[in-house]
Amino acid sequence: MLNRRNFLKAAGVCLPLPWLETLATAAEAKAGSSPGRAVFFMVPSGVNMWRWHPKEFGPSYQLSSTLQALAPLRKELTIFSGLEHAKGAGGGHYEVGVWLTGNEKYKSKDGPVEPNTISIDQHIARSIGHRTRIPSLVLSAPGGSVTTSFAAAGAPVSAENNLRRLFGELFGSPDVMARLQNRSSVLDIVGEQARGLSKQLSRSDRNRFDDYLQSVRDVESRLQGDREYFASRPLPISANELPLDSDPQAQRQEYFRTMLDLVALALRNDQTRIVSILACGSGHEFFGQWPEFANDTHHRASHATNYDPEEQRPRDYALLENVDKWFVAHLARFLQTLNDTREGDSTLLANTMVLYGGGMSWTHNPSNLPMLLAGGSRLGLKHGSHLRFNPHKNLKGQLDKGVKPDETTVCDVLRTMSERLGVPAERFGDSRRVVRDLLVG
Amino acid sequence: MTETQMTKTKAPGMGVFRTFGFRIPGCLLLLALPCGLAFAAELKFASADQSRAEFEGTVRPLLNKHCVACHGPEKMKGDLRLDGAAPDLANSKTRGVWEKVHSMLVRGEMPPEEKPRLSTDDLDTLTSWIRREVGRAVIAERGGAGRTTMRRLTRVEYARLIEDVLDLRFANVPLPLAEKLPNDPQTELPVNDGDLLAFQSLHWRSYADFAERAVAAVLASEPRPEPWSYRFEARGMGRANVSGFQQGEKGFGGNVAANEKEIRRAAKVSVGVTERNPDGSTTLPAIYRADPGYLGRDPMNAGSWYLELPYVEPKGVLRLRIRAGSIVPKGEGVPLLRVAFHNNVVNQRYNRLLAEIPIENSAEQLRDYDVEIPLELVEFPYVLFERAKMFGVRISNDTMPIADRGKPTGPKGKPVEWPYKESLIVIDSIEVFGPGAGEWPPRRHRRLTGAGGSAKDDRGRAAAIFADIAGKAWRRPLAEEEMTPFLKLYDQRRQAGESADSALKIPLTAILSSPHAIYRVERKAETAAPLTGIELANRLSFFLWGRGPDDELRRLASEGRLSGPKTLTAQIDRLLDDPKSAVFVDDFVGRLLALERVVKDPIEFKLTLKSLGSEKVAALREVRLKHNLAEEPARFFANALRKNEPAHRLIGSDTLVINDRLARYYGIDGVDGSTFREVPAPENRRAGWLSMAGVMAAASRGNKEATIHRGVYLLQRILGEHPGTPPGNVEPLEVQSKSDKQRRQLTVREQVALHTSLNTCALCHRKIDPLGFVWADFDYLGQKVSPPAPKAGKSSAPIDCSGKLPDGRVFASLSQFAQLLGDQQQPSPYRFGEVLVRRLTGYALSRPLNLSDEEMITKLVQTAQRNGWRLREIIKSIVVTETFTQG
Repeated sequence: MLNRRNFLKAAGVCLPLPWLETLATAAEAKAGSSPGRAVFFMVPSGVNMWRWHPKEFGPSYQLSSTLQALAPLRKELTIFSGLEHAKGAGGGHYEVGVWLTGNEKYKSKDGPVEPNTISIDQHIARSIGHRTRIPSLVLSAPGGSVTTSFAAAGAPVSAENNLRRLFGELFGSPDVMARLQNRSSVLDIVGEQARGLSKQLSRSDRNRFDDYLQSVRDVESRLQGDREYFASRPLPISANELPLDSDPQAQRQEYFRTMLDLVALALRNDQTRIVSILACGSGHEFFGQWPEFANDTHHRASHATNYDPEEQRPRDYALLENVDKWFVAHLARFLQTLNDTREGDSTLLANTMVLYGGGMSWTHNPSNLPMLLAGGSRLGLKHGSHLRFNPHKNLKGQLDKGVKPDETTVCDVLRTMSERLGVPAERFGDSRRVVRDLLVG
Repeated sequence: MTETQMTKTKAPGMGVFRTFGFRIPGCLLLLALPCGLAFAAELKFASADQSRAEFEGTVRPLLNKHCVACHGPEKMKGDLRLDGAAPDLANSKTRGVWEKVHSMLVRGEMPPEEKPRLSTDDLDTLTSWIRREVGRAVIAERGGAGRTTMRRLTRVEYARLIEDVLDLRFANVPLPLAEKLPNDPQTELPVNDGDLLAFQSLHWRSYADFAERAVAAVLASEPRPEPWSYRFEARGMGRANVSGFQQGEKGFGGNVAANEKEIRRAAKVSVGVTERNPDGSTTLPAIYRADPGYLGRDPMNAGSWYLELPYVEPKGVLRLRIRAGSIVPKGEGVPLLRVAFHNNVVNQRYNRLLAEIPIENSAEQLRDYDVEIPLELVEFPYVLFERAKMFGVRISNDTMPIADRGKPTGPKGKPVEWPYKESLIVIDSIEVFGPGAGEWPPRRHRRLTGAGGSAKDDRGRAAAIFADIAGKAWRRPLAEEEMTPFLKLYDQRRQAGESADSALKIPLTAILSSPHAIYRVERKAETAAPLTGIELANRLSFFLWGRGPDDELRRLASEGRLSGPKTLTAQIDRLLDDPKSAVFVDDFVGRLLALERVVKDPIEFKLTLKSLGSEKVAALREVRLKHNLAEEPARFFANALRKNEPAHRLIGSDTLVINDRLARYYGIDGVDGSTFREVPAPENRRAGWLSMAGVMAAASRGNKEATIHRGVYLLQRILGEHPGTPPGNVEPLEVQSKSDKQRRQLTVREQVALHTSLNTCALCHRKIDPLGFVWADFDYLGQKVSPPAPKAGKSSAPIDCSGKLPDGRVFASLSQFAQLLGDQQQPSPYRFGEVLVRRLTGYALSRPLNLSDEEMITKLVQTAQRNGWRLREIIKSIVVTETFTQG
């Protein structure tokens, strides 16, 4: 039986699909350059702030204990301190809807009640998504509307959380091929029906019903693309060899390992260039429980810590640290995989920017966010340092509310990433600048 | 406008219009003019050009005079600019801004105190212009006044539809099918707001995937699996070693041959740590007792029957028939029989709960319990079973004590003498039927294809089946030609070599993912007109049953008799009497009171010390208690609805509707059994919903200091007014007090006052905070707290529960608070009956209420008052309104 750890390697061998052969635009092929990608990986609900950020700033910092697993990739990443949204946006559990949008007005923790603004991944995908088979992958363990990604109209993009469906979407399978055939028969009929029905509706209902027609059209065109794509290639691996039915909480280890492997493979094959991943819901609702850590709840521990010294809350801080390290280990493995994958004369990691972190630091506090950016050296990013913003704030972020007008915000980083991919994002969210410290030269 | 008058204006707290849909007291009518025909007429006749002219002529000068200095090109306070041309209110964001402007004006919050006030006439000009234009824009969007946007089914409704059509209900095995579909927006009320239910390509794919999977699970198009069945008898089982249980060899087991002679494979059974009764049956003790290392849902065979069945393709239905009874000591609850799939391979242990069955009958009268497990629809990594070449099923007694119990202690080093009596389950025998056993094809397949029974040929059969299923799924009569494309697809599949049954699959999937199934189609004209009979039948049954109409409603609709008021109200009674109305009761009450929080919020119940000292037992007791707490308000409402009691009875009643576990919780004796029933309420639980522990838990959100949470909850859900949105970056009360030593010295009341002393915060908090104290003598779990111990030399002061309503009326206790709201005579926007009328109307119409609905609400309130606020009459009056019966 295939060792799951070698999955990516094996799949790589079976599926030699460098991007040049597949869907790269003629111009890219000509220039011989690799395409840039961006991954946004959010872990909400706060961290153990005593151990997340390194103590020293600048290039000669020591990795903190939480981030230790990233040691081999130290040169490929930048750690941020003092980063936050302007005006303290994203306080409490609004963090998920604000992390990639910077929308200070978004205040809807229970779901998409009010429209949000577009998130950076969708902003990028809107411009360059058409260059790949899948414009952007939106993943989240809870799935559905629990996501960091929001479309232009401000509605959440429905996130995928089923690994089996994700696998089928990426690589097809005999089942998937048969289903595509069936699916297109179904689409033909219901599409026809829907067009007929639309004519009988009042104007206002027709506007609403356009959603359905549009979704049928979207599925149809994707289907056509998929059939052509799958028809021309062998399967990388049998779906049965992978734990695709893993439960996002009970089998979190397998679930995230497989998900990140699939993402790495999708990036490698240039099936998509933009990925957003949400690890769990903010708060207790979606997979905040940790069976591997005495069934404790991340949210509870985060609540309990306040700004207390670590020794006062050993159990709570320990849980936070365990969870932090758990995800950092997955991040490290993911980055390593990208780094081990050659692409042209460099690596996949050199062409992929990975933004990792959360929208909460201390108990429900949206300041001094735990965030880091890895990869993308070929895209003009300069790494290896621990950057400090908002230096007038202390570790607890308590000295001042809000960001001073001349300070760098999360949106500045998002904008920098977007523009590295050639997508202008001037004034995205609260952004006022490109983060020069991140750029070469 | 005086302060009191202003605070009387009221928002029903629904969606976009929450800050806006206020009720104008009679004395303000002249000034505000929003209700009544005058308003509707305005809508009809003011053209867009006229409105722009009016804006330029009267509105803009006022804005320039009073607002633009702060909200203009120079200052832009609150990011708001009110200079410039007439706003385009068709844009929903712009509209939201103007609604806020309106509510600030009406409440006198703007212009600020230090600035010159608007004259009453000017205020009227401004606000009525905004109201009219906003109303016009919204109504234009919906296609006319009082109309409702066509909407898709929510995921819960769609899953229910598929369950109904394909008969996907399985004995004792609940399937959370809706969870396979993408989340819908979580709104307070109503969930089914068409304006919010988007449909994207992921939706289409998920809905179609779901339909396909469900059809495949029912249609037996594959060859029949080996038809095996086994009978496991407690009698005659030999002694056996049972893995994973403590006391060595104390267990039973053996191999059992199939009932069918031609089946060669034997099945295996083992029963761990149990006793054999004189009649040969076995007794299962509570699992935590049999297995002290009991790991929640884990693995051991101790204290359970563990069956190893031959591996089969996971298709079709696996059936169990368990012959069982229970022994229940006095004061304890009936035990739960737990059935789970269980992979017992070391390092690959995996356990999935399938069924939890309360065993009500005594062990002296054993009974058969059926368990139907639809293999395709149960999420389980079957590959584990495939590797182990067998299916593992584990059956145990998952009872949890209802009474609190301390940890049993014994002399050191010796086993503890167990001091408690527990509910036991006696099992006599278990029969198991494989997916191929019994009649073939299986029952659901026969039902699905039943309509084709008398057809002459395969094609005729297919046509009859499609018409039958489409009629059910689309919830309306069909035109014959509508089936043509589906039949054509069937022909194609046949030509491609599929069997008569297998070729049904894709056309049936198409029928179930058709827009006619997914949407509630109403063919509307450009102006409002009465719905057709079948459309009305659909609205009615979705309102009260959350699903399409049944045969009787459809028959009345097709005979054109449904819209008669007599028939309609008779049908409402019939629908409410039907058990299916639980959908409405649970959903309406659950949303109104946010009861989901009780189950999902991480509320600390601290039951460990009362649960044998075991965290695991405590956790499971907690789950059951939470579910009961969350269920109580709905059962109470159902009881009131059944007896057609007045609305205010919901917040003032001398009875409770509880079961054994809740009776223990409230300290009431003499209630046995898990069924909810009406009992007299003790002194401190006579405010209906307001004195229920589940409601207080939902309001407190697990916070020890929850005054503000509770105030928000009461204002929003019981007084029906939206509490406003807090600014970001404000730390919760307990965080503030922890980081600030001085604050800790203050009383809760003082802390709350400090927390909300900022001017901008006070705007909302002056309404919120005085409400929150009403539950000061209950903790966050809804348990009565006693006043703090008296300090030396002083007598103990009773807990202060006084506060006041936003309109200034004061109360000293919960019962006074409930009385003020429950007062049926005095008109007040906070009158509970009126709040409930609004809530029910919004729910019935599947949309937030807006200004154009005010006339209807006024009438409904009058009608309700005439009918003594009786719940069924309120529902009936809503259904017969033009808004409900017109499309």
